Amino acid sequence: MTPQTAAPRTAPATVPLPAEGTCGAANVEWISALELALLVVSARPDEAATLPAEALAWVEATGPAQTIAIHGAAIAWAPGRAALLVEPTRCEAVRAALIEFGMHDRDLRELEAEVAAGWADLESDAPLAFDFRDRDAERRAGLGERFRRLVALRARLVRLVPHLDRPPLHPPTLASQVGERLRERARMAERAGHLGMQLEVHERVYDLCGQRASEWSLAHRSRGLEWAVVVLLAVETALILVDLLASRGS
Amino acid sequence: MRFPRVAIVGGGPGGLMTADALQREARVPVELTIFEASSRLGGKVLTRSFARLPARYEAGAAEIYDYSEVGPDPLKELVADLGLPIVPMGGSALVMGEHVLSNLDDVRDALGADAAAAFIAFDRAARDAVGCLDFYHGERGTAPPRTSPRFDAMLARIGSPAARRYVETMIHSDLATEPGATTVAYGLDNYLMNDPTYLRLYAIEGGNERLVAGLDGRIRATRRLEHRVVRIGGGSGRRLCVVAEHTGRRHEEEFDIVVVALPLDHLQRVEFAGPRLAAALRRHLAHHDHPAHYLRITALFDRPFWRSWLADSFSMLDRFGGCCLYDESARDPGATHGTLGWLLGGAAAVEMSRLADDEVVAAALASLPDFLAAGAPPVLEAHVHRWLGAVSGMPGGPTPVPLDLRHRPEPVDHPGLFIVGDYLFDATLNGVLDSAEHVAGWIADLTAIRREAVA
Amino acid sequence: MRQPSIDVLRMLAIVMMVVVHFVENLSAWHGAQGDGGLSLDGFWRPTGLAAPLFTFLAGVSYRLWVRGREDRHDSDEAITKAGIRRGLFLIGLGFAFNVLVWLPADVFNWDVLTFIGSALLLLTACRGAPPPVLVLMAVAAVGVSPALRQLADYPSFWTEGFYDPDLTLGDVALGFLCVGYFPVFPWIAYPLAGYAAAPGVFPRPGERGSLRPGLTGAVLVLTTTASVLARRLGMTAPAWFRVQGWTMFPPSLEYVCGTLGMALVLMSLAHQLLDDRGPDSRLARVAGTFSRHSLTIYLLHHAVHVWPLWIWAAWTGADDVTVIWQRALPASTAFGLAVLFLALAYPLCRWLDAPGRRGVEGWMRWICD
Repeated sequence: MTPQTAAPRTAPATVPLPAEGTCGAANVEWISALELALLVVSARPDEAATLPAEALAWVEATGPAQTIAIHGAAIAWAPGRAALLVEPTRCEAVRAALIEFGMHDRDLRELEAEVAAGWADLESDAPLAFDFRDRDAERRAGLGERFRRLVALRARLVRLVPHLDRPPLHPPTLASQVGERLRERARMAERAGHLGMQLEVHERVYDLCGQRASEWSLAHRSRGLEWAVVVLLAVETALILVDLLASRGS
Repeated sequence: MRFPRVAIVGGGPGGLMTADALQREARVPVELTIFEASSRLGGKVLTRSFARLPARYEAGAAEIYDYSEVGPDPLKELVADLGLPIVPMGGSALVMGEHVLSNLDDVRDALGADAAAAFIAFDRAARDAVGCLDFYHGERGTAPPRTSPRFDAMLARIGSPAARRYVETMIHSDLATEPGATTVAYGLDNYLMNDPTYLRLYAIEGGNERLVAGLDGRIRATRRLEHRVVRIGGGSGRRLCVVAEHTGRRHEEEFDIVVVALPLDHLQRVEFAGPRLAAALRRHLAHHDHPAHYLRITALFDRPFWRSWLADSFSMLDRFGGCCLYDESARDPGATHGTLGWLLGGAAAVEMSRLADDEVVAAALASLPDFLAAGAPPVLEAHVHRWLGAVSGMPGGPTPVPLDLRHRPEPVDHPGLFIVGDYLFDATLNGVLDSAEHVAGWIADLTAIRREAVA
Repeated sequence: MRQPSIDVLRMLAIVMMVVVHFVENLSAWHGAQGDGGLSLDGFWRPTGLAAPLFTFLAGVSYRLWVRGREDRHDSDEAITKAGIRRGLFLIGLGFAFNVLVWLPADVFNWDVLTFIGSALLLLTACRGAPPPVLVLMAVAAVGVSPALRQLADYPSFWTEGFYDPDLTLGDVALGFLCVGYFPVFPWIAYPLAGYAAAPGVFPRPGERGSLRPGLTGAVLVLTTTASVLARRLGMTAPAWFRVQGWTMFPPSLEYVCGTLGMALVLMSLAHQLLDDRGPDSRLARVAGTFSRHSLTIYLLHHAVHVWPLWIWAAWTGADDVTVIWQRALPASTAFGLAVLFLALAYPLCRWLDAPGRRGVEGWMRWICD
């Protein structure tokens, strides 16, 4: 087994890609949806679950690797590369669990990045949750856009959480145990919880901003009417005043 | 002004939890006195250390059940309230012969497809019989009283002998009795608790006995250690007289309320005076006395040599009719040594307890599968703890009894006498807290009513 | 941030104002005061635009000043107080100006200073009003003016072509409201319109401007043109209503609409043409200098062209101090003097720009802000 060492951004050229689902000897496959090169090594049932050193080195070529050994399967995971050692009969299910984990991890990271990017906006918008003034009127469109984005983020998280926070399968299978261990190691449930709390803060602020903006809008509308009445009264007053002043001599 | 005097007989977790709950819930000040026969508080919650290394192990209750995923969990809340950190525990491996079966794939490979199918069928039947919320609320016993079959009858229906043995091994040490001596409901409970959807497990970092220490630290009560209560009976008026033996001499004290929080084997040794009270206690014991037995063997090694094969905090062994093998050193994340603990239950525990400690330890080491025994270093130190008759093999009894009657066996002439025990619920620490809180709330109401009546 | 377009327009207003005052007061040559009848005479002359443009720009500048204070997170209270102080300062300055410049002639003018001071007070009070309300106020002010003038008997205050009230409380109040040189009605329409139009023409960074003010101005100009043409075809309104005709005193509806439209169009165009060039162009620098010291120039040009008339009358021992009022010089000479004044005013303004020196505007900021 001689895995190539360069980080593949596209399908590796020098390592033959196996047809999907074949897990025989050591094979590298390119999973484009995850931008991940996955090295699958077949293990014999009587072997200890330890990844060969070359496979570990191949994974670590792109960065520090997380390693997991569980009930006869071994996994190493680094950005862009992963290696899996497992018995051939259990390979397909474990590989599917690993890819499923990768997809959820990617989704969670994207959400985390988007929420993190929203803090600057939140800080500048936070004062509007308390006080909304005329000069803030032009920010309503931006607030609405950010609120819509927030709702979309929450919807994505809500769809994702059941996959991250599901109770362990019982009776377990090796694939379910691998998936659970990967999720546990990546602290996905906790991260999703923290993300939920962060989104709650955003939602609270933008909810209050929306309330303040609505109150402002309502007040603005009724204030227009009040002002119109004031103008008409002022005009009437002016007419009466001028009439009084002009007729003072007569 | 005289405050209500409350005696708590038994300084185990039940007694301490009752005192703590009463102290929190009582609306008038109560004067608490705790009687404990031994020189320590805590009962079955016992954390010990080895002499040769600063290594701890659980000699009594090994783990605490975590129901918080399903609903409110008063014990977990109490642990958090006491500021005690917890360590999650879990394990799915079961060693049969020389095979480690960690999952369904392993079961299928080692026992065959038929055994795996039979196991899955049993699993489904168990889930159908007791749902997750039923399990949480303790709502079992849907079968009519008296016709309720014993658990062995259900196990016998597993089509594959290998699968049956697999299930028996999985639950034997938790049952602490034989399947023929317990109910289907309790047997299913002990099977389903392996499913994290039903409950999870945890231990208290630094030893489960920290729970006892935490409670002891915040209870304001008179503690009478080495006071064995030998007799409880009527006193002046509606008060109760407690007779305790200390250094060979007997002392009498009168209390408004007496809470007896003793394990069944100790309860049997107390004399209840008066024909009515004695008869009520006989009925109580007859209903609940289904003794179950534990034996704990703990051995210290210089390294955790089993971790390449068994990485969880516990595994099951198919020896001794099915025993649990705890990685005690996993409770201490920084430990370099290895501590292995065997938990034997039922008939095997009784049988082994008759042997001398050295023989018990040798038998335990001999029970290790070859792939583990081959790499085992010499034992540095070992201890045996016998818990014969310490728990109930049929908590709640064969048929359900109303909750109040369980806790107040003779309400007519002795309304001030209450009973607290894990065997009244599910033979766990969680159960004894439920029992303690029920009685404490009841006493709190009674004392408040009496105070208002006096006023 | 200074807007070159506003500076240029204000400079334009200053130049027109100086020329008009020099030529009118020294030689009786009237620009804006047209026929009031059928001809187009006077309509094309730009001199009548000076005061409307000046007052319109006062509204625009006030809006931008408020925005600047808001952006600096000044409190509403602080902005309101500063606005009131500025308004009172200008009114006070207007009174002082009346005393110093017109005292020898024994007249009291509700002039542009007292008007802009009053306008600032009103704008401060209406700062939070929605834009449609501001427009409604402007329309109401214009619409109600003919009726007010009718009630007040406007012609009785304008004997011999200029405002001549008795200094009774009633006459003074009427002068302030509707019959003076620059009464609140209808002149308040200009600053109100400027205040309402400013956000559309000068959006905040990152926002899009609006074409609405410019288009509204164009519609007003076209409507005024149509009105003039209609008058040529014989369609007239009652003379008292002063809807038609190009008269600044009293300001006819045609005049107000036309000059307001011109101000709006000019501001929109100037913004499109000038503001992208930035404040460093030569035009922007010159205009900025005049614009920053417009108040100083206003006061100074009155002093330098009116006081010589009083001094001359005193010197010759004439009974009437206005003996050579509008008869002092030929129009061409007066025009030349106006140009000379402007030429000299520029270095004076530059001199005032030096650190440590203050023009009238500097004193206003020092006192009011």
